[in-house]
Amino acid sequence: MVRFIIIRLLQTIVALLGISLLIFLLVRATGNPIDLMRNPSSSEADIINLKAQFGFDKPYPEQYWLFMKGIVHGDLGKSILRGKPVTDMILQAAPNSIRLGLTAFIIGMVTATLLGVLAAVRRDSWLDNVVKFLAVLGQALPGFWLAIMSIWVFSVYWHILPAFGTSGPANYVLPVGCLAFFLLPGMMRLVRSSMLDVLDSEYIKLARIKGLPERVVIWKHALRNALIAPLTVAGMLFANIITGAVILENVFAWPGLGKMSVDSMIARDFPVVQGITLLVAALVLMVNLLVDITYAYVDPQIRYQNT
Amino acid sequence: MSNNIILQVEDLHTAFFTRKAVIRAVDGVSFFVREGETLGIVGESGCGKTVTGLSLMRLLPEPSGRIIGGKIIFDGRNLVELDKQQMRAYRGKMISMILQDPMTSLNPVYTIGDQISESVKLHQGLPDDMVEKEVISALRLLKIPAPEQRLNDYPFQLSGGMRQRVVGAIAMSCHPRLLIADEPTTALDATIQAQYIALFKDIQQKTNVGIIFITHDFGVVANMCQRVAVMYAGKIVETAPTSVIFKAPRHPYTAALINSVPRLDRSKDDRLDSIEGQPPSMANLPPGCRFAPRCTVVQDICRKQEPPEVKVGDEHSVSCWRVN
Repeated sequence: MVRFIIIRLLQTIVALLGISLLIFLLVRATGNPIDLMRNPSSSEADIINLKAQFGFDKPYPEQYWLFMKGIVHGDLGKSILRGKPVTDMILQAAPNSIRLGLTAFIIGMVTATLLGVLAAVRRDSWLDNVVKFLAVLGQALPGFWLAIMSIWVFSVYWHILPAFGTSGPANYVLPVGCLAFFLLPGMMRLVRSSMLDVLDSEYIKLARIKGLPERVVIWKHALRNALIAPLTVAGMLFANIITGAVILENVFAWPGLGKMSVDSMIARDFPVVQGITLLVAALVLMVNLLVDITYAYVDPQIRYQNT
Repeated sequence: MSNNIILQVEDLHTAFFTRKAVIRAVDGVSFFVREGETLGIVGESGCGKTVTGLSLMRLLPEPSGRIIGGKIIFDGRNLVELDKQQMRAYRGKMISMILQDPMTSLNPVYTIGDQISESVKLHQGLPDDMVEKEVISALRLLKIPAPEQRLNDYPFQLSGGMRQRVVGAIAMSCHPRLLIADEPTTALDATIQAQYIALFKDIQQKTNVGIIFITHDFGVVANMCQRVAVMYAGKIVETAPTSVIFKAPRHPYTAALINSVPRLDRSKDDRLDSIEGQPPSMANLPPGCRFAPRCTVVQDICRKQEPPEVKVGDEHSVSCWRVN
């Protein structure tokens, strides 16, 4: 297991190197930030000056080298737009995003598992039909539309929930709810179908033959087997939560990384975009590693292969 | 073997209700099992053997499968009348079952120690240290080598034969009085099969458990069972002591089944007999005797009226017009 984790950590570092190069080149493909900063009266000398100030006059390999060197020292450079160190900006915005994302992720996964299991256990009941309907609905509705509609219904029409801000628990309800709903359908459908397969298996029959109460049959014998496949997807859904957050943070004016990344992309604020993307990539990779470790915990066969 | 009857099934009817049809998978079946005795239930696939076993456990697939008539008297109580809670107290404790495929009947994510002790804890209410002793003694009963070390093994670490022994250990862990074995040797190699059967004969001697051995293999029946019930299309067509049925089968279906078993004393140029045709669809049964369409000695009456059950000897009865 330790060997497995070390190998995966090394793979993660290689992946991050690749991502850093990719994002470095991709942001530069969008154009030049100086073009957005110049005003009609600025002279050629001013522009050369500005370029030198941000280091854009150097050749790409050198710029990339400096970028990498900075990362090792924990320095992601300075924001072109705000002049502040990117690290500080990220540290300021990240907690907001983490609170939003993590709460939504946990609520989404737990609800999806519960509903998926119950729908499978009571197949073709009204509950199952509701779950199936929710799944189709959730996969068909775009996240931003749902967010805007929920603001309209709960904030504008009924005045029961705030539409933006981060001041109190009430502010979390809409963004967290929308983000969790964004994750719910896929996971729920997967848990349901996986659970149906497991419930049909011989070892579930044997568990009942033993005289175990249904509660134990479902939540002990069936669930653990039924979660193996959805677990992988949960890791991938974590990446979804970040794309979801980018959209929802903008709709709800949530001062997190998602909003910050969109703002900086529009302004071609390279250092900020690079910093956030790299951080998010690292996060997704770490979560996937965590999923693989959990996987080994849930399925003993994998645990034994890796030792 | 004593004369003490532990299970008496009377006129059991089990049906599956589907949108298209009502399938009477078990249609008026009666038999009994004594303490320490093995009753073989023999028949082709789809004749209702497994459904009979599941009916006794009251574990028919819900919501389509249902017992619609008859009695299952076990230990003086009619199991058909019990509610779910009461029935659960019988399952795994008084009545146990072994399923066909050892590769799929153990839960892959729990250790075998965990899977056996679960039953022991549930039905015997023992303290933890006693539970482990019981589990080990169950593994020992099934002659599983080094039982202490097996406790922490997962099913995938064991061979098919060993897994089927573990399934047996689960079944025997609470000292049941009746064991339903649903083709427990079908998925095993021939050599392992013989071992497994010998093992169960030994266990039966030690525990005096009554066994219902569901199989399609008359060879296994000869080896294992004192009495046999031959099932065809949801009905028992002949029931007799094993020694009698091999010497003098009275129902043409029984005779045909026995003739389709390979034997050492037949010339190797002889073709193995088979029964022409297919068993009837359970949703669309022929009138009269259900075996009539495939029977080689069929008469006119067979196609019109169902034959009554006739007693032809000591614990030997047949449903066939030829016998009258």
